[in-house]
Amino acid sequence: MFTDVLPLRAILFQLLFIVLAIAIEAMVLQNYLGIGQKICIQYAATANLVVTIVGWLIFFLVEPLLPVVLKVQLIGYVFYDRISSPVLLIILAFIIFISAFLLKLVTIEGLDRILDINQPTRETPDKITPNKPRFKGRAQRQPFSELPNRSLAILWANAASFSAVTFVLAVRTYA
Amino acid sequence: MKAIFDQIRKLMQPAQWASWQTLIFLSIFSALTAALTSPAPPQIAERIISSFGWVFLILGTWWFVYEPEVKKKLKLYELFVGPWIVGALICVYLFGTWEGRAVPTPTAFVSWPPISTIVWSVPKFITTNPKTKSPLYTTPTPANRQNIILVLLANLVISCWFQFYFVVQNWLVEYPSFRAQGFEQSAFVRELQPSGQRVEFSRGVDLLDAAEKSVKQRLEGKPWAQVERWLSELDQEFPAVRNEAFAQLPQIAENQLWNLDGRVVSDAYDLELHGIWQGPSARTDAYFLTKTCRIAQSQKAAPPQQLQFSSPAPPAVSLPQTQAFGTVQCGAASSPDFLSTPETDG
Repeated sequence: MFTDVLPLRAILFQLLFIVLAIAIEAMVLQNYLGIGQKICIQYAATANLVVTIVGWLIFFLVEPLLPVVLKVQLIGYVFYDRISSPVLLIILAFIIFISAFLLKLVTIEGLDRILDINQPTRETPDKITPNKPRFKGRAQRQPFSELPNRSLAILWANAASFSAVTFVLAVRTYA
Repeated sequence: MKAIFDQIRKLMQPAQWASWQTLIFLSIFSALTAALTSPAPPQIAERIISSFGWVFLILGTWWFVYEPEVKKKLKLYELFVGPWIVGALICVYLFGTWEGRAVPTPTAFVSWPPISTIVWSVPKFITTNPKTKSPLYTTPTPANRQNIILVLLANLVISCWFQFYFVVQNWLVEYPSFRAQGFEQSAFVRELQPSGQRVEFSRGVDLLDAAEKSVKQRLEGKPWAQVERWLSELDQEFPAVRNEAFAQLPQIAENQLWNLDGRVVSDAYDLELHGIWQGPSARTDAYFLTKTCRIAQSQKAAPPQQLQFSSPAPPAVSLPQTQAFGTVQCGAASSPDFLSTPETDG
């Protein structure tokens, strides 16, 4: 039953991608939201780990239910790195991107609740400029695009990390 | 010598009754008692007592790894691995072993990281009541909460890797021929001892052997005329061989990916059997294995039952009466041949 075929490469790639994604997303979040580096890394790490786990769980749930044709294609992809239906893969990648974004949004909201962080993004601008209270009135009239919008920041972070992972995969495939 | 005994004694003798040594001794005592109970099938007594043994062992180990000196030694790059040792014991106790009790079950492997995380996080939920010195439940500080979340999530990812390993093992059981071509290109798995293409993993060989058996059964020792008729009607006759050959193989999902084909390639009756792999392949081309069987006639004496012992003539008279019979001689299966287009004819 047990063979010496180990998913070592999958583990290495996953570690690389998780570290890469956390680093990039933390950077993007910090730039967009202007909040501390530590909390950004915490957000990015928690969100990416949750996405990874949920992704695996969906894989484990769906894999036994796949029709034989798809299952054989999946095994061919895992064992021989052969993509038999690129269109399906692109559609899947798109679905994964959207679901990962939504899941990260929910995760970060949840994390705030667990850690008792109250709306850090809305308060941070005030905290950054506590010595300029007279600008408070003006801050409310800031253009929408300049307001730190957390959902948008997470979307950008997600896009950046997915791009990086896609780039690494492309280099691996074509180099 | 005395010093050594003293040291052992010091190690064995608990400083006070409430200590990890006491628990380990209780565990050993339970194991011995369990061994003495009757081995009759329900084994209720044995199970209860050995459960106590396990619980004492787990608690004793738990206590032991948190001894300050031990805790210092069990650090691996600043990470205290004690909870993972305790977690391993808990998982083996809860989910058991198999394969001759040598390997923990997949459930034990998969649940090991999260259960260890629970063990690891327990101290963060407990504080000491300053007055009574008794343990008290507490909500962890936000920093600790974040740590618990991250450690739990990281461990769950490791659980997923274990589970993925078992998924891959299931695939290899259901689709063993994938291994025949090696996994050098894979982005996911690696063989610890990669050996490239290994035809012995390909079940095409088994399929062709089964087909050979089936063909032999049909032709060997049969009258030549019958053999020739069978060969000339191969198209109608072959499906039966195919069904028989597949029926001889273990029934696993991979069988659908194989096709068996046979054709006569020369007038001297070389029957070529093809086992065609229709699943994904490491190369662009599909591949097939070939086994060539030479079907020839041989002159043999008529079988003894045709001798007329009852007749007054001596049996030797009928000896010149020979008959042509089919013989089947098959070679070994060839190594894989690659097709630029998979054979569609089935």
